[in-house]
Amino acid sequence: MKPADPISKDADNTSSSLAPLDDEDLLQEILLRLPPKPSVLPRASLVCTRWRRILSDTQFLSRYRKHHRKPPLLGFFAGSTSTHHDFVPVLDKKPDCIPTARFSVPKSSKSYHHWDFLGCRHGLAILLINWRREVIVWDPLTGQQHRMSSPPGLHETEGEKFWVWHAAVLCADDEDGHVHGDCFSSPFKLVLVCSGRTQASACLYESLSGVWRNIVLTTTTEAILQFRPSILIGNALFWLLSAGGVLAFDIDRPSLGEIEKPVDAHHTDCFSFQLLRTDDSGLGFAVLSKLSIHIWEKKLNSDAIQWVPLQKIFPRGMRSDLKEVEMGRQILRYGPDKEDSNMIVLSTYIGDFMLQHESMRFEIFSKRNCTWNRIHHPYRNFYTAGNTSCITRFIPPTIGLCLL
Amino acid sequence: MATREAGKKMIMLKSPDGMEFEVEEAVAMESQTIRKMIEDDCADTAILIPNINSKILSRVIEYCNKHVPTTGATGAAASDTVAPAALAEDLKIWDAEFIKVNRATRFDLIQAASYLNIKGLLDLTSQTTIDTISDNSLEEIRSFLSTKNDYLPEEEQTIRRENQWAFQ
Repeated sequence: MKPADPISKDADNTSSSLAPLDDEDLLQEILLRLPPKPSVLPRASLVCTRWRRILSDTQFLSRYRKHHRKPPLLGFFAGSTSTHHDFVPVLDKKPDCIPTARFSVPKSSKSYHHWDFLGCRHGLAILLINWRREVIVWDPLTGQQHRMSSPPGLHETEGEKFWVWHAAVLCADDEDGHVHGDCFSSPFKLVLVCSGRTQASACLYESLSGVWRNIVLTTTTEAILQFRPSILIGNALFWLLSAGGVLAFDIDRPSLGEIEKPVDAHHTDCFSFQLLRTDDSGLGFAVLSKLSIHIWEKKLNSDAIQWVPLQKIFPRGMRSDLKEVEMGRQILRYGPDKEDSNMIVLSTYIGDFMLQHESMRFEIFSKRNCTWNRIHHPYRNFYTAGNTSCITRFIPPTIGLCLL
Repeated sequence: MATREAGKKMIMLKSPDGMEFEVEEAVAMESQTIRKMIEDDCADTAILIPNINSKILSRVIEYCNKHVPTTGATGAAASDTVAPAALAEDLKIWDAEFIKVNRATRFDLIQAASYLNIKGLLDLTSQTTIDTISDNSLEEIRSFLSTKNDYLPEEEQTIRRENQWAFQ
């Protein structure tokens, strides 16, 4: 029994009318304000069947997302290249700590077949079954999948024997005010890239038409880094190449090309640089140097692309751990989603840190005592699962009312 | 103050229990419902507000008076010199005091805000209701809202199992 329970004091007037709760529109208006924390909708659904029906309704959920606008960061899909990825929750306190098993990444039934996890955007993840040249768009919330085979001819360029595949998915819902979250049923676009040492080809799939567009090609100086996710800026996707170059795909045209890295950007290895979105929604290029991060921004000057130095960040919050951090390999990660434009993840010997852009402080979110080169794919969404998937087969409203 | 009030157009609002409230048109127009009536020229000298008793209507007018932009939050001449951030903070404190009402009054205010289409008041009353219940157990929420648990035990268990972690 709580000594000062606000509810009991508040409920003193028992003769009150409960009309707002009887009025469906007003009840929805109130429930829209439920905070977008992972445990909230599942818990509120248990109040009564009426609440569950409302909280499972797709139109209500669409309003709920629009009301809150920004989907919360639920965690990361983290893993090394070609190995299995696990979900790492970002909220570690009960009841909002989502267990790793809740978002169990689909994998092959055969242990010798790896499915590569290539990125996460708009609540959807993309995986590649390399040997079958098949891409999977996976909705972690519901477990639903779209599967598509690579278009013929994407990796048949002459003179190349070594190919690296990459892919990106994005929601193509153009409804006014659409907030990403339940995008599996929305139209989507998918770009599949096949990169060799000297050339790369790419192809755009649009779910609305259900067909692959023409394959586009470009010459390159290096191959794509498969374990770094793409970044979406405007209508262009960018991928890092193995020595710092950038592969750019224009979705509208579509076209493919390579952008050189900043000439004065020096890095120690492919883990120490990353693409990012700048505050002006431009393409940024970050390099980790000891414990400072140098950022350039791509500018278009007189029809020529130039990298302009933008910022040097000297993060705070790790001073006491400096020795331990330096012992490990310093790895720079960056959240590729639009919503994550202000977040940097630094993976070190002692754990993984998130840099909050506003405070310039690193906060540790995952501790360990070894070097672990894991890529972190931020996963943002409204936790609505368990409502949408279950209601139709479990408690249709009419039956629920009859049970009374 | 009299001279400031002199040039302002006044509107009469009537509650179903016969009370009349004379308010500035700008204050009344904080309600989108009333605004539309005035703009469509449907408003005569007095507007009857059905379903909202005088006690609640006076609270709604109090809210609108405070939130109408032109008169400023403090109502004093000093409002012109107060920084927007300070004004917003002042409103926030005022709102917090305003909403310290019992459950019945709050629910009546939600209904009034919805009918009169006053977004700020609907936000305040709805959000306060959610804030009141969100940290409490299911039993406490049901008790507060006088809502009956109409799940069969096996149904409840099934739903709990789907997201067991959320109930720990």
